[in-house]
Amino acid sequence: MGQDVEIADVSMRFGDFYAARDINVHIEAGEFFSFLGPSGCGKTTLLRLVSGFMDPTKGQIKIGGKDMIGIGSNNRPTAMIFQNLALFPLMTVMENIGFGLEVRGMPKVERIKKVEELIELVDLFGTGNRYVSELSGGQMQRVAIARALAVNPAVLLLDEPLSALDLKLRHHMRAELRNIQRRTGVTFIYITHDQTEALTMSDRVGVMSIGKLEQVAVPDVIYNNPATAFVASFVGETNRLQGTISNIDGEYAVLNTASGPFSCKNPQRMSKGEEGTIFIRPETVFMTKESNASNLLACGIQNLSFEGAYAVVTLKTEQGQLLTMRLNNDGTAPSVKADENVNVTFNRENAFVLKNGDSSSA
Amino acid sequence: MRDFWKNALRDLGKIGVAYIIITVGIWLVFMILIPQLIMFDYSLRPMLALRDIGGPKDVWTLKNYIVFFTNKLHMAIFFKTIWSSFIVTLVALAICYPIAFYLAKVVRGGKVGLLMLGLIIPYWINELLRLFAWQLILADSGILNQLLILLGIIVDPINFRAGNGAVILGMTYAYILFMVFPIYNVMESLDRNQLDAARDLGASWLRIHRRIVMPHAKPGIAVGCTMTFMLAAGTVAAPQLLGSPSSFWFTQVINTNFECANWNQGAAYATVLMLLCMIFMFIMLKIFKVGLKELTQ
Amino acid sequence: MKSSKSIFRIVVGAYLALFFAYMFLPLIFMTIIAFNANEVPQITPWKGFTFMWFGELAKDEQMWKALLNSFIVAFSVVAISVPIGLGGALLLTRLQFKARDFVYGVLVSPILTPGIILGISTFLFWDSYMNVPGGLWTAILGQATFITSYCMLLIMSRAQRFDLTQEEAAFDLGASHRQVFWKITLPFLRPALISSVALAFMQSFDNYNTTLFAIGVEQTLPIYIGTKLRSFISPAMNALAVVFIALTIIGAITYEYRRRRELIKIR
Ligand SMILES: Nc1ncnc2c1ncn2[C@@H]1O[C@H](COP(=O)(O)OP(=O)(O)OP(=O)(O)O)[C@@H](O)[C@H]1O
Ligand SMILES: [Mg+2]
Repeated sequence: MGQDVEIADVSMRFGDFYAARDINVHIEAGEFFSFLGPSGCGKTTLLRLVSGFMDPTKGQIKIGGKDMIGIGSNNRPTAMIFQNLALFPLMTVMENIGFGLEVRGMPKVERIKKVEELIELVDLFGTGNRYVSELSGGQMQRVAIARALAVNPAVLLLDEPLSALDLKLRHHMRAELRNIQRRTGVTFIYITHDQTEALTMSDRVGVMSIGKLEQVAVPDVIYNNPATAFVASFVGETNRLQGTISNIDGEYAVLNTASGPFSCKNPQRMSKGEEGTIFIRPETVFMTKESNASNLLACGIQNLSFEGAYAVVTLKTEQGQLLTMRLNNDGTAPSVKADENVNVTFNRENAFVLKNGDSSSA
Repeated sequence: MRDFWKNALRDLGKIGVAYIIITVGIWLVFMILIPQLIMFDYSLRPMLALRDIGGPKDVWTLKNYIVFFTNKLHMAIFFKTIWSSFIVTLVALAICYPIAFYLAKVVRGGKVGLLMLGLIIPYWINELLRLFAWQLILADSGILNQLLILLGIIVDPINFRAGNGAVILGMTYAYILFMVFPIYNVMESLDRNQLDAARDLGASWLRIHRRIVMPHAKPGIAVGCTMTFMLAAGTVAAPQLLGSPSSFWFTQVINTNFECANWNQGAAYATVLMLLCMIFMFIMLKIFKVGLKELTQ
Repeated sequence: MKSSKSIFRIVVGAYLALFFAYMFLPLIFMTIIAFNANEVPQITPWKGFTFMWFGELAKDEQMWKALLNSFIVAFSVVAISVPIGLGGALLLTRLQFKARDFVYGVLVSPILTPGIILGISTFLFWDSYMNVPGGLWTAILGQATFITSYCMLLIMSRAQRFDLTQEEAAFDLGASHRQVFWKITLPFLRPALISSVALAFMQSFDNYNTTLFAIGVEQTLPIYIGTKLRSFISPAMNALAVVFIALTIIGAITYEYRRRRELIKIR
């Protein structure tokens, strides 16, 4: 059964460089939790801290309520699936899967039985006596999963385990991982830089920028109500308009931008005079014939690209600002051509202003 | 420093770290450093009767080195050793460079294995036996004299072993293969496409070697030269088996010192020989602009 | 164009032929003499084919004694050099410290030192400071000084290719340091360890320069050969050479075969 993981005030420093800084998060027992962030932001570092390959410069890590600092990786109730899998090339599939049991001194008969169960669980029939170099990418992946599950970990740590697979296999394995997680009830801490992966698989997602945890929330909150500018621009496509807040109206704010004043939500409770950026998802921008609607932008269509279920429209405002929007291919969208002039608008419910943060890496 | 021990213990465990410290410690201290230092210490002390050792006469002195530098005969022998080792090195380089290149970059397929075997077998055969073969060839009734007489070039057999020629010939034969393998190893890692590209651009063979192959093979050439020189300068066997009794070599001088129980003098001569080889190595490193690290890879 | 290419071929072929003739003719010549019934070790005059020199060699007590010593020394050198070489390789590939390059330089320096120096210094240290007179023990230590460097380099070259996450994975699955070493690290290093055993054995068995100065009055096979060759030369020495050459050829072929198989495995 899974156990909870508490990461409290954890910092990790390499020389002068902070790979993780003041990370606080509590991962529930049995949860599928993902860390999402760009390459080099410290995801692997965080995972290695939890698994015990190194100890943090500062802070506490508790698993199942027990303090883990100073306890080696061989004595923590975690198992890791490595970014490069790290299968043992000189052992067969069965020996790989059974390794954790072997070093625990489990008798051979019992071990073989357990290994066979795992082979069944991850769907690896008939490969037991092969060497790992004779397996396909997806099969190696499964061996790594089975090997980690064999030791009955309370927490399974997965470091971008699907990144080396082709698209189709990746989709398949996502479903399978989710399945295994439900069946076993083990806490999964999953690392990825692929937002779709994080959003579709996880119970909760933690978004990281360089060394920092920006937001922890369920996937739809991450997408619809990002807490910081970094999260807003890293997760999903988005349009940005910069400006200064000119008016506050309850939960909403009015921002003066180069393209005019716009009204939107103000989740960070910013006050008048502050600089900020409005974020608007392309799918919430729509065309309008009304010329006196609020949040109106007069644009020329710069480019249309047909993607099947929808078309992506690139717009340019009179002030030269670029925007993108989507036209669904369901017969309801107006037919437009490049170089046409149109008016577009968005609902103030679907847009939000956030403080200008460091979103350069997104 | 604290991090170093922490990481070491985490990665290798107490036993692992202890194992490394003990094994390398014994080797480094008792087999490499202390014996060298003691040899050096010996070279700086006068030869004394047993009862004087530790007494007032047992002081550090440069006497043993002064004896060497003022002994004309020994100096001459020393320089002979230098230049003949140098010749051996040059000849070996000239002969082996094409062989190494041919083996590494020209020939392909199964032939490589056969040729490699053709090099490895003589390379592995005992140095003494290789020299013995030449002892037989160069003997008065040996095949070379027999051949020359048969061809009518000479009437009476020549004593080939009278001068230094036989020793140099034998050293070349015995140590030539120490030049092939280092050069071969580095040349093998040279990308064949580079050669093709250069040839495509119209570069001549000479140019390709000067501009592409040689620069790449530098570390190998440096190792080969250092090894060959060191072996030639330090060989006891070649002069013993092929030298004439009237013409001594430096290692024989060292040997004689030890046989006459003048260990201190012998230690000084040995130190000189070691310095010579070290200086040669550093010159090689300088000329070929490679680091010690690349030298032994 | 075509003719210049074929001329090039002929030149290369001739060069190779000459080179290999230079390498092998003396050895072949030495071998043939071993079967000549002539007392003087020469091909001419040919007095008939015989195995008698092998018989003569086999009767030589001194030779057997030296052979036994050679085995004792070689096995001891293997027993010292391979474990220490492993320690050195682990030190230089697994630990990060500032003086690494310097330590590396010191540890490979015995290879670049003339053998006679190693023999002399080992002898002086043990004979006069530790009161161990020159003999098999000093010969073993003198040889092991530089043979260990070879073993270390051999093991290092494989250790550098080791993927450290494999050890981490094993730890993560609950293995202790000891288990990780015996089940993961050592199996990976095994081919290099086997090669270094072979290399250490051969280097020791063939060594002359270092042994000569370190061994005192004892004899290993090369010392025995050296002594014989300096005095009266009998064709029995040729017989011994033939045995050596035969063993070397067998050894070289097995070694080369193993090396190729290993290479193929890596690719
Ligand atoms: N042992 C170390 N010593 C020094 N710096 C390190 C070390 N390990 C990681 N770093 C640095 O910490 C930062 C975060 O590394 P980490 O491997 O955690 O990134 P990541 O988020 O997993 O990236 P990726 O998605 O590319 O795997 C990087 O800048 C990296 O260079
Ligand atoms: Mg990573």
